[in-house]
Amino acid sequence: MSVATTTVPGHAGEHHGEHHPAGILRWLTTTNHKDIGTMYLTFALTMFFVGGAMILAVRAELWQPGLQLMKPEFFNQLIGIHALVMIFAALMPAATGFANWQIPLMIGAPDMALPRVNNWGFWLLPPAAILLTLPFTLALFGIGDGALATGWTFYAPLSVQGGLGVDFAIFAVHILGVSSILGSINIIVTIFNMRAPGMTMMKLPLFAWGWLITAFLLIATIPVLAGAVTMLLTDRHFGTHFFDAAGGGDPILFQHLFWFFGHPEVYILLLPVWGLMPHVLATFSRKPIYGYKAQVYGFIGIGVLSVIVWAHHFFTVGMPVPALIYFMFSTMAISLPLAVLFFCWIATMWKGAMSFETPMLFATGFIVLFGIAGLTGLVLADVAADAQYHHSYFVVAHFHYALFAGGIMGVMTGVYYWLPKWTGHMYDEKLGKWHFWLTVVSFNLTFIPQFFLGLAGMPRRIPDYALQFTEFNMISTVAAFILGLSQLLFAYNIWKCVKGGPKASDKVWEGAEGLEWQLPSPPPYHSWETQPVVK
Amino acid sequence: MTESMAAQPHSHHYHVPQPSLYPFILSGGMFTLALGFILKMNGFAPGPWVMLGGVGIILYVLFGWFGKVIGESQAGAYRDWEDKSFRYGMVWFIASEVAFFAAFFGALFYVRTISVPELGNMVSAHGTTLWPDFTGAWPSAGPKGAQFTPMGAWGIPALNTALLLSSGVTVTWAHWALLKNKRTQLNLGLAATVLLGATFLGFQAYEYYHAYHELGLTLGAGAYGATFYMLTGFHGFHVTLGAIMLTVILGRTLKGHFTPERHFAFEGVAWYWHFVDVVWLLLFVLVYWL
Amino acid sequence: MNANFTEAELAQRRTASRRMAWLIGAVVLAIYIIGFFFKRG
Ligand code: HEM
Ligand SMILES: [Cu+2]
Repeated sequence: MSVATTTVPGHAGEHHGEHHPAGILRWLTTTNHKDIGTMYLTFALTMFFVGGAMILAVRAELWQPGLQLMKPEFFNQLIGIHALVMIFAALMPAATGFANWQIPLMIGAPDMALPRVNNWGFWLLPPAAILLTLPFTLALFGIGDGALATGWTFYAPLSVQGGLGVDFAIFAVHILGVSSILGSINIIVTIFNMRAPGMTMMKLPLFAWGWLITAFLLIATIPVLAGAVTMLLTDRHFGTHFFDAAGGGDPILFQHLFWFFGHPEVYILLLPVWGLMPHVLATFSRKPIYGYKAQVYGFIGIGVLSVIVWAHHFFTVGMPVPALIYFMFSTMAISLPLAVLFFCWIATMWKGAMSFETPMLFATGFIVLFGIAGLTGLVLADVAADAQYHHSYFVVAHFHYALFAGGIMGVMTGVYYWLPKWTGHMYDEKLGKWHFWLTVVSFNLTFIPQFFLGLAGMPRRIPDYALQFTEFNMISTVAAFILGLSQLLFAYNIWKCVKGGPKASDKVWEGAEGLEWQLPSPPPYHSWETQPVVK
Repeated sequence: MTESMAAQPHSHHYHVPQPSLYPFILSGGMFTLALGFILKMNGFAPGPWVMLGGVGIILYVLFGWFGKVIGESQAGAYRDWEDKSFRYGMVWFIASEVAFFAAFFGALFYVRTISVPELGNMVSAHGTTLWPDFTGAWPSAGPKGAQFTPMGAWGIPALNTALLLSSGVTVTWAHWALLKNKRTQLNLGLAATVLLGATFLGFQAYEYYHAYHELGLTLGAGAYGATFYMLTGFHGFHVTLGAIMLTVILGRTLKGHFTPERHFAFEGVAWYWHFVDVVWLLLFVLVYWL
Repeated sequence: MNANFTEAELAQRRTASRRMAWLIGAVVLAIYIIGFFFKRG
């Protein structure tokens, strides 16, 4: 077929109105970025509660020293699956949900570049979540001894010796990895190929920039994780010796491979949030974003540095001193571009006509609490100090300031900010404020004690502890339950907003800037079919 | 099309495909395959059957989904704008494959330069007498791995290098033909490429047989065996996929698909083939030769 | 709540946020300086 046609035969049948199947089939088959974004976000919220319930059981066990509620094996399983669920099934899908909804709206694209692949990326998530959690159920029927019990890091040799649950987790990670790669490819292609005419890369919204760097990091590191767990699988079942010194391998090799992925992963979780933050801060300060270029270069700098610092997660494993020094200084170097971002966020608010609607409350709360994550990270990056803090509750507190206050609260910022655009209704502002204050207060009450527990020497991932740690653990447990219950307000507020509420205007927020605010709230099923022109 | 459209680089709407059930079924197939594999490895009888079911579902989707895309392509649904998306997509997919192989090359680097020498150095460095006779020289199966003879570079592996390099030439020759619309040369070039790829795989199968039965070189042969088989094995798997894709492309050129202007599928597969080629060169140097 | 402020309200908010920034800065600086007077036992 070599006819060069000017009229286009394949034109018919595309983008004409909303003739998608109804009911459940609509969601199974959809190629629409808004539908897929909604599915990602709903899935993320659901898994947020699943992972939350797991860790509340853990906190209940830690209410007192001694074993109260569960066997140590089950305790270990809950901790590991909690982390995997929160990272891979809550935070990452939430960020991808944002990308799906917002990137096309913000860059003036008719949809994501590869819509069917987009649908596939989402529908890989539920099977993976089932694989992660199925071993709990199987154990009830006497099959296997439960889920992965190594913590989320899969360290060999424990994971080589573990039961059925390790295999389930390995394949869950494989499928999650495929999903992430597909999502990343789609986002990169969309940003490169679908921007509105006139939108140069240096006019790209920062949210899209944050996601672009995220996607590159995913493509560079997720396959390494896939390789690592594949080696684990062959060590377990096919007689290889990757992580076995008797055959010339080394358990520490696993740590290198895992953290080559694992450290960039923490930036994968945060870059989308850093991308959305300046939009929110600018909106509610009624000022333009300060330091657009500096932030773009900051993202790129952090992305590059993040893949060369991985060994700070195992300083104590026994490395040559030059390696320790290198990994210490390269890790500390990340705080420089990070400080640039902090500076830009604060400078965006400087002398602004600020107002504190819920998204802005979360954004400012994010800056303060995430700052604590960065500062305690610097403490851990000090090789000598880390010998004391490694594998203690100090680390747990550090990364919860990063991942809950930085990641989850960042996602909440985005949800409150964009929900009126997506649903066409305003959420309940009063409820939102309650949610914010309950969350910040109980979050700090949960994790500040853990800094002190860690400094005093309480190890992580152990269900029992010495008597002198009791009071702080009790505070932490009570606060954790308040924190968990407060999130029901969040779910209820979203539900209420989807169902109805005061009509949101197109622009929603007085100070909002950007293409997405030119569309109606909610935007039509197909938006920007004719692309806007950016000057 | 309104007047203002003149200012735009795209003269048409982007092709957003109709709703499709294929991705959902494919996810189900992958789940089934994974579940079956887990069951099989842990000795549950239904395992292989569950796996078979998963493979069946996946094959059904591959035929259906690719068939649909080919149909859309033939109907002219894809023009420059969509074509570019596919190209970018393929490039970043190949990038992710590079990272996957990097993990195994990284493991090879680690065992060769860190863990094996360290194990050979236990007495002087750590004063331990565990495995005092182990010297840590490469190739190595470690202190306790099965004894083996390593695979030489200048027999089959060198021949395979020649085969894959020539296949890179033939696929480029086919591409030139496609650009000049010389259909016979195009078909011949593709057929030659597939043939060279298949011969490569045949030799590799023979090499594995030889290694297992005469050299004692097995998956269990310590650090060498593990890295050797995982690297060459995943590479061989990729050659297999590439050869299958080339066969599909050959089928399509025989049917008269592709024009000098519009032939993304051909190019995507050719890129993939070159990628597999480059990985082999690294393998040849780092696994077989040095 | 999505306020639409008058010019006067905006100006008032700009001053308020600037004052708040200086206040927070002063508090942080104070904490930093006070830190020097703590000696480890
Ligand atoms: C300047 C910034 C940061 C520095 C210098 C830093 C440094 C470190 C170091 C040295 C450790 C290892 C501690 C140990 O195990 O002994 C660590 C653990 C961790 N950090 Fe950070 N960090 C920083 C920011 C972040 C951010 C932004 C995130 C997340 C988004 C994060 C998430 C984590 C996690 C999840 C762990 C623990 C992983 C585990 O062992 O399970 N950190 N950090
Ligand atoms: Cu790290």
